[in-house]
Amino acid sequence: MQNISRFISKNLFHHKDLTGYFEPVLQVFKPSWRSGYFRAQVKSIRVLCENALKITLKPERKWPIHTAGQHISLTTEQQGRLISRVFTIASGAKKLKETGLIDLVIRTHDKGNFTPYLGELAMNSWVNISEPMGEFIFDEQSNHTTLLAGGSGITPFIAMLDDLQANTQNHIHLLYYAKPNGHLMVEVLEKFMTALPNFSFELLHRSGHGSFTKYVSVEHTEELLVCGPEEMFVEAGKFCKSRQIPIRAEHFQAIRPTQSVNEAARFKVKLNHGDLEVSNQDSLLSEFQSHNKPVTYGCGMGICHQCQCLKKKGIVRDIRDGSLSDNSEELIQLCVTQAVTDLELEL
Amino acid sequence: MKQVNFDQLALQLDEVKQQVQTKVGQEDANYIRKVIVWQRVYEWSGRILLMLGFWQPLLWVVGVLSLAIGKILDNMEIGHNVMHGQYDWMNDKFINSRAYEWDIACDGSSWNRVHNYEHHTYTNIIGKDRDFGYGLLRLSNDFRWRVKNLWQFITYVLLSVLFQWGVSYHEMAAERVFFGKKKDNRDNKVSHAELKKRFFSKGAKQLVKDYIIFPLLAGPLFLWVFCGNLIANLLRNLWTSTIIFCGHFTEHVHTFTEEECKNESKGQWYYRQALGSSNLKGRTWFHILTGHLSFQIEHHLFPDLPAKRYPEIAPKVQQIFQQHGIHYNTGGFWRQYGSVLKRIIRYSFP
Repeated sequence: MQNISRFISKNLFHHKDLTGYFEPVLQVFKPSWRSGYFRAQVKSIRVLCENALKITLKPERKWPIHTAGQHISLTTEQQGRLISRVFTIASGAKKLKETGLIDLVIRTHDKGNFTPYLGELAMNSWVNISEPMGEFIFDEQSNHTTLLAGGSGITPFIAMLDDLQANTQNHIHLLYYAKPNGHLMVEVLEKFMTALPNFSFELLHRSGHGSFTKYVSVEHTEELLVCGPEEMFVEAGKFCKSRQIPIRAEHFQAIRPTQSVNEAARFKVKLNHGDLEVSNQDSLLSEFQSHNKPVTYGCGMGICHQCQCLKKKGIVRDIRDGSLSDNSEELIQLCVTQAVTDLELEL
Repeated sequence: MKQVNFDQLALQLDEVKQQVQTKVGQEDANYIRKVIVWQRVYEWSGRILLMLGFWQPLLWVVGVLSLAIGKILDNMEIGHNVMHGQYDWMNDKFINSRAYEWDIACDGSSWNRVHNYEHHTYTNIIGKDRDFGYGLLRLSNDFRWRVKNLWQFITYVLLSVLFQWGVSYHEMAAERVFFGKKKDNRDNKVSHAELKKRFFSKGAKQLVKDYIIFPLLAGPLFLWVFCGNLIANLLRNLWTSTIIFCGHFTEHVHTFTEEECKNESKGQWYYRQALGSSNLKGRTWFHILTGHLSFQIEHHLFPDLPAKRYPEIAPKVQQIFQQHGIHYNTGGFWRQYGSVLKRIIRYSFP
């Protein structure tokens, strides 16, 4: 049936699918309705601290129930532009079943392209979410689990603890690293400690407490679950390998320009057919040509869009006005852009 | 080229573009979605009304007009502008130059390659911009007079009637693909086989859709729908052809030689776009139906700015042109169209 619909859509309406052809019409009746996405209504936005928000969403009914620890891609329209970011759900499936709501705890960045605008979302407005994704979930068969969280990496653990039964036999100890006074949802953790007799936690910060390795009880850890920045993930991986402790991890890596664009540097470009390294001093088109990569091009001045390609990841600079792109998926023109970070492109 | 301070011209026009670019956002996204909604409304009202013609023939006439407006909106304000990349910044899965395919016989990607690159980069450079006269009409003394030019007015009328097919044939450089006509330094980015496949595949889809599937769906009203689609396509062809001719072939539009444009600066490029295009005055509805190609000058200066912004920047562009003594070619529809016809007739003769 789907194939017939696609065939009709492609041949009669020149769209990949029929929903795409009617999308703007459907949006008149259902705001933010988008083919391939789920809708969710903003139910509350609470400021947790200076740079963290808790957003409560009510996903539409057909949204599949998530498993604690999974993440979603949140898409909002900002100044007409659709921008997506991935966030772990900070509430359990139990809450969703009881109230129809999910929570997202989001660290905001003043100079970001996405998070500074989340606080401006109107109550009851609609956003888009993906289906729940990821396999970072809790193993209830384990007897002793150590959780290691860094910054906003606390969110999957909040969801996991939220779903745990009070009579769980698993002894869980959470090591939570954040900047001094930057720990999120501490009152929720305290509630969990009251409700779950086998749960305990420590609030730590790198400068005062040093590495997590001295806080992990090797003999009482059957599994280590890690969610935090790249460095924490790498360190935990080495630690577990040397102690032969099973590890499951989810890490996040904020992609930002690492240096001034005027400073010469080279970046990796992952393409759909092979990778290469490019300089940030020339346009991507010139770099590709110098590497003999077959690429379609035209005017070389950003007018004809012949060298357009899909940037899946990374940041580029528009040579014409110096503006930096977002890190998410978007169309770029190779002739007027330079790499500012590592990139993933689909030519 | 005339002595103009090209660097200053480039700076001023870049500034105009930047000023508008900072404003582009929600309003523009809402606008293009609204136009798409209206396009769907016109198209589907038209298709339904065509079938009610057996009951009241006047409804059939309204249906034809409604379908024609739907096709014009799809072709001009949506297709042409979206495929120019004017809305790529929205990150919309469907409203972008990579995904959008318009409802005409010409394959979108072939058009995109030839129109966006050849025509917009080399506007009115004889020998490089094949759009000047479409290889059919002699519209300046840059071309040697041939006997066939004597009846080029009839050729023009036929081209207008079959415009979507003319565009399709032209964008694939059919004289090279089908008849092996040679051209020096020709850079074949797409193989002839691929071009032929796209030409026939898109053309067949359009024919089957408008003249077989929709009429068959109407059952006993086959002919009502068949004729309605035929006339709606004809109206769209005549309209788009007329608007496009008014944008490039009015009396005062200039042509350029390859020699003149060698090592061209940004300012000189802007200057050529300015002299190679002409505008039409009109009301808002008129501009929308032209896909804002009634602001052909602004479109050629800034082809990937959302077209609905052209009326806003036109006075600034006009002022800058005035300052540099550059002719801003604009006028009412009948005056500009009259000068197009005059040009076609004038160059029919040696």
